[in-house]
Amino acid sequence: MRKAVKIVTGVILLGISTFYLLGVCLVAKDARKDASYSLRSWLQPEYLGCEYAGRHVEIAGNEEQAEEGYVFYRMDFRLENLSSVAYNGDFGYLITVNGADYRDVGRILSVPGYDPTGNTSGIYNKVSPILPGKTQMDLIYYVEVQEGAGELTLMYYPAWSEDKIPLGTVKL
Amino acid sequence: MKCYSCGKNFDYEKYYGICPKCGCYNKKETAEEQHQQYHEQYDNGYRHTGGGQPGYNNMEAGQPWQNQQPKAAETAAPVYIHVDERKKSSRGSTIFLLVSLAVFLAVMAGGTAFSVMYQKKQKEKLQEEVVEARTDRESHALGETFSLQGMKLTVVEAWAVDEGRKTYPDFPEGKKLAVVKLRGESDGEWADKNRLSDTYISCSGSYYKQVPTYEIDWEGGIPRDFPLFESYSLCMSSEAEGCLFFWVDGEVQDITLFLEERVDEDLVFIQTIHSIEVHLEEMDLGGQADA
Repeated sequence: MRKAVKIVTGVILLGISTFYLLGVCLVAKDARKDASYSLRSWLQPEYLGCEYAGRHVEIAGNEEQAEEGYVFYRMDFRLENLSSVAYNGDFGYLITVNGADYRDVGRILSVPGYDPTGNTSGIYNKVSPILPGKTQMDLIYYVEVQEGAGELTLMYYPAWSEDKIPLGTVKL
Repeated sequence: MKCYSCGKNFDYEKYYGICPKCGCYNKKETAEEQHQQYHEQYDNGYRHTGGGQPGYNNMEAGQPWQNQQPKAAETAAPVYIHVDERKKSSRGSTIFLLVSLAVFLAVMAGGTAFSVMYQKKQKEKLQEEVVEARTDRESHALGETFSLQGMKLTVVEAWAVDEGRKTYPDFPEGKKLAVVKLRGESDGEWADKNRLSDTYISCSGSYYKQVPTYEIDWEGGIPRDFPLFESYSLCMSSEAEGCLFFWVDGEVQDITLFLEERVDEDLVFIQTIHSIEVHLEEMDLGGQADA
C-alpha cells in the first residue's frame, strides 16, 4: 500500500473516531432525558388474604361457574404503583398463581379487568381500568383451583421485562 | 582496473571484468554509471528528462542531476542512506495506519459499550429515584382555584352525556361520557412547562384514563359542543377553557378527578396529586346540538 494511501486512511479513521466520540458525549449528555422516556410503571402487590368462594361466583353482576372438578378461591391484594407512569396493562396477568401440578390452577378472573364477554369491539382500550402513578387500588382474583390442591404459589411482575418476584404461598 | 578480490591490475575491456589471476568477476560501473547507462538505453524523455541521482526520486523538472552529483568518494554511501530513509518513512506511515486503526476500533468498541452501559445505568437510576420519590395529595372543591405547576386551574362543572346523545360513532354500550369543564390561567410561556399531564378519574373503585384527544376529536358532535382542554392549551395562551372526557359506567353519578402536578426538567416526578370530587349533572343537549 502506498504511503499516501496509508496516511489518508489513518486520518479518515481518526476523523471518524473523533465524530463517534462526540456522538458518545451527546448520548451521555442526553441519557437522563432518554431515560425519562423509558420509565415504566412499577407495581408492588400486597397479599391480603384468600377465602373459599365455592363453585359459583358473581362478578360484576355476572355469574361464573367453575369447571368440573374445580372450585373458586377469592384472593385479595392491595396493588400499588410506585412509579410516576400509569399501568395500562391487564390486571389478570400481574400475579401468577401456580399449584404443585400445572392442572391445579384453571382460570383467573380479576377485578378490575373482568370482562364477561371478552368483546372489546369499537371501544378497545377506552374503558379499561388503569393504575396511575403513585396510587394504589384493591385487586381481587377469583382463581379456579382443582379440588384437592393443597398449596398455591404466588409471584408477580413488578414491571414489564422484569423477572418474577415471589409473593408468597397460600395454604388452601 | 584493480580486482576487488585479489588486488591485481588488469584490463577490464580485454577480460570482460573477469580477473585473470583469481577469476573473480568485477563490476566496472559505479551506481551513477549504471544509472546513466540506463538513461542512454531507455530514457525517452518522459517524467525523467533531467536525469537524476541514483537512489533519489528526482522528479523535479529542470534540475539536472549532474549539478547535484555527489563527489566520487560519496557516491556509494548516500545511495544506501536514502533507501533506508524511504523504508523508515514507509514504516512510519504503516505504524500511523495501525495506530489509527487501533484507536478507531478502541473508540468504536469502547464508545458503544460506554453508551449502552451509561444509558442503562441512567435508566435504572432514574427509575429508582422515581420509585423512591414521595408524593403529596391535595383535595379541592368544585369551583375552587388551585395552583398546579405555576398554572391556576379551576374545575368549573361536569356533565354526563348518555348514549341518547348520538355524537360519538362508537359510543360504548352501557357507558356514558363524563365531561369535566376546566378553566386555567398561566403566563403562557412554553418554557415554564404550563403543560397538563395525563388526567384520570376514579369511580366504582377503579381508575380510568382520559379519552385521548385524537379519539374524541371528531368532526362536529362533541367538540362542537365542548371545546377540548388540551395538554398544551396553557403553553401558548395565558387563558384557556375547555373540557376533559372520560368514559364511565352508565349508573355512575359521582367521580373524582385527579390532576398530577409534576416537577423536574422532563416532568418525571409527581410532586402532588390534586383531587376534585365532582357530581355529574345529566345534561340534555338536544336543543344545543340541533342549533
